[in-house]
Amino acid sequence: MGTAILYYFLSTSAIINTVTAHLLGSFHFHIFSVMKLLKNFLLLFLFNFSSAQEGSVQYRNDAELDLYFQEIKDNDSIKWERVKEFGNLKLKIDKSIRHKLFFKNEKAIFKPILNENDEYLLKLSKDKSGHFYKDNAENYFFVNKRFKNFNVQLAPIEWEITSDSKQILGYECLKAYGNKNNEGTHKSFSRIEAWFTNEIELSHGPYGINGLPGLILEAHKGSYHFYAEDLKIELQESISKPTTGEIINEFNFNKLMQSSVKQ
Amino acid sequence: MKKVFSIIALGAMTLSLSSFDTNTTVDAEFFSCQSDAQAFGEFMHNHNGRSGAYWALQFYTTFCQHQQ
Repeated sequence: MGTAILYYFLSTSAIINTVTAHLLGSFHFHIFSVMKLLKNFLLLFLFNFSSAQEGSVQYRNDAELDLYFQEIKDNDSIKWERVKEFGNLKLKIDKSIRHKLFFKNEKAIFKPILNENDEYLLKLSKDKSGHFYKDNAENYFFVNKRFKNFNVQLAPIEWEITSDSKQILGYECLKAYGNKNNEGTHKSFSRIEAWFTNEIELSHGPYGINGLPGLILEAHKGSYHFYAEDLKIELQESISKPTTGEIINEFNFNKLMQSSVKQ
Repeated sequence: MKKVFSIIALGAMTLSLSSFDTNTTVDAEFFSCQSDAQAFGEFMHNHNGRSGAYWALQFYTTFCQHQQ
């Protein structure tokens, strides 16, 4: 809203000053107009810089075969022949899903981009991939699995920031390594690598990977590799929490989802 | 959609009555759901002209979760 107001005053003052100067033909009036324009530009720049806390990031996923299929492929060539069509189809679907992270200050939501023309299996995969929601108080993954809604409370990530840096989409980024520790045993069950930018001081990122002192533009977790393709700093509508489901912690949810349906 | 999930439920019940090869290390309980999906896919292969992989992925998407 503030940006819109400043744009309005900037544009109207520019128009009025230009027309008036043309009519009056006054040199002094031009100098005054230029100074006023410069002041407006400075205010506009400062306002935009201080309020760059809303926007969206689109990510692609350069996925690889997940652990189940990779282990079979590496160790059991006979079984691989039986499962490879399933494995390759899953990989194809994983790679074709693009996601968007919408952020508005402390709130963010990460979800797949839906297209009307998606064929059934792709649409189902997107629907079942869930939404990751984060704000100051909560950090969870909402998903429907086995005909039930779950609010999976994400385990915090312990980060170690390195001095390695590179540019992503024009933003200077630092590399960090993260670990998720299993509640109770303190044994790490997820190793993560992420690149984040301090230029956007928000602790958001893709796929529930968050908690760094800047926006994450690249993240690697297991067989998933998220790369930011597009970043827009722009006003966002309010971000709503996904629908409430059964509350469960991340470790127990993973254990449940790995278990046989036969149980 | 109801028909599809009826078939999935039928497949799940069928799985509960059958036994599977568990000789290899990758069939450990850790990957049970994925194994169920594969077995379901083999059971449903060519149903409605769809491959076993199609049915396996549909089962997987509904019942399992991508593991890291």
